[in-house]
Amino acid sequence: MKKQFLFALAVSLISAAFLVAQPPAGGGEAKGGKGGAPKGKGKGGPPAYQPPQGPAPKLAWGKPDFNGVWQRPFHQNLEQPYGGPLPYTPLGKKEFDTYDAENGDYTGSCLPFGHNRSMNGPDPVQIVQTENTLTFLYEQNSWFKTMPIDATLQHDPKKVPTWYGDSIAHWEGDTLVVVTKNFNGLTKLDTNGHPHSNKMVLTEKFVRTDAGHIDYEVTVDDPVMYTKPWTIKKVFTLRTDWKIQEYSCEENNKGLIEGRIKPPGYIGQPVN
Amino acid sequence: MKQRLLVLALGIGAATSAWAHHSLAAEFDSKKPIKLNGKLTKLDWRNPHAWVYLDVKGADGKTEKWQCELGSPNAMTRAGFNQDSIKIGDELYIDGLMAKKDAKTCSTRVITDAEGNTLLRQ
Repeated sequence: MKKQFLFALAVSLISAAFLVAQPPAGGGEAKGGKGGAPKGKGKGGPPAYQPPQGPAPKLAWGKPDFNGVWQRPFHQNLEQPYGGPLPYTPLGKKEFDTYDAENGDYTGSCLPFGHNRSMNGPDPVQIVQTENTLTFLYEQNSWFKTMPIDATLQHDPKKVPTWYGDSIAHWEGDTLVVVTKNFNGLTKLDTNGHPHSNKMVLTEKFVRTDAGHIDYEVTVDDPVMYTKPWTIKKVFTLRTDWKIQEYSCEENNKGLIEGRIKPPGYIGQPVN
Repeated sequence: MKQRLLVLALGIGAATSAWAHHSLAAEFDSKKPIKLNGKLTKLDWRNPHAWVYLDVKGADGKTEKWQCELGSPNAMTRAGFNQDSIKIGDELYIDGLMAKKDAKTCSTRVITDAEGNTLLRQ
């Protein structure tokens, strides 16, 4: 397990290095090597962005305003922000150890990523908030999720399980809390394939700390795959310079169309 | 202008892109990095991945047709690389990873132009 975590950490550090290497740093000097490109300088990326400053804005009804387009830190492996191996049950460990994206990649097949993976994405999310509704417009694959903000509501266990689950939001002071249940269990929690079951309950907390940021935390409670609930924290940044763009996953998914990506085996099969 | 193809046996660990939307391992082999040098014949600028098509002169002098995957146009545009950043006929150098199944197909890590300017790093 320790070796796996160290490997995961190394991969995350490599990912972070690539992230740092992206514009707006302007790109680095090209590595020529044998047969490689000539040496030269990178062409500059867009100017560095500065989020708005000031106190957390509030809406007319007195609650914090989460509206806007938000950039989120992206982690392909949730053990990196968690800080170590997740508290697997034996089944959870087996599911993670045997996951092979090459043998059935649902996201590569453009199937819904699931709420947790859409909230942990490299593309932005737009939050649309009214007094009694909360909506996430994920740029990734142009998906969305909407829910009531109402502390009096309870989840209906008779609802059909879904990829994104059934969410209800409520306020705890100025913290907006989203509780999601009733998942279909067909998604993974991250790119590396951390598992969850259809018994998972996700609890997310949103705190608007200032004009430019949200403190976000998500707690995964899934007694089938994990021995105890575990939590990850992130900071979202408001991007006043970004707009959500259309994102058709099916349009040019050549890897799937040309047979390099294998769809998961449950496609076309009963799942229950 | 040199145009040649080299498949390197280096085991670099660039297995993951910071903004890949799905697992790279589903399609590409992190243990098979490749360097290409060729002329751009087509840019397919569509989600979920843009693709570049290149004429690459192999070691035997024959021209090979390659296709290499890029990131999503959305993410690349935000990072300052768009459909006008390269044009048909440009000489490009690509550092990438070979596809597991198909020959002459790769995932792009870095695009560099003939002057050595890094146009894209992902």
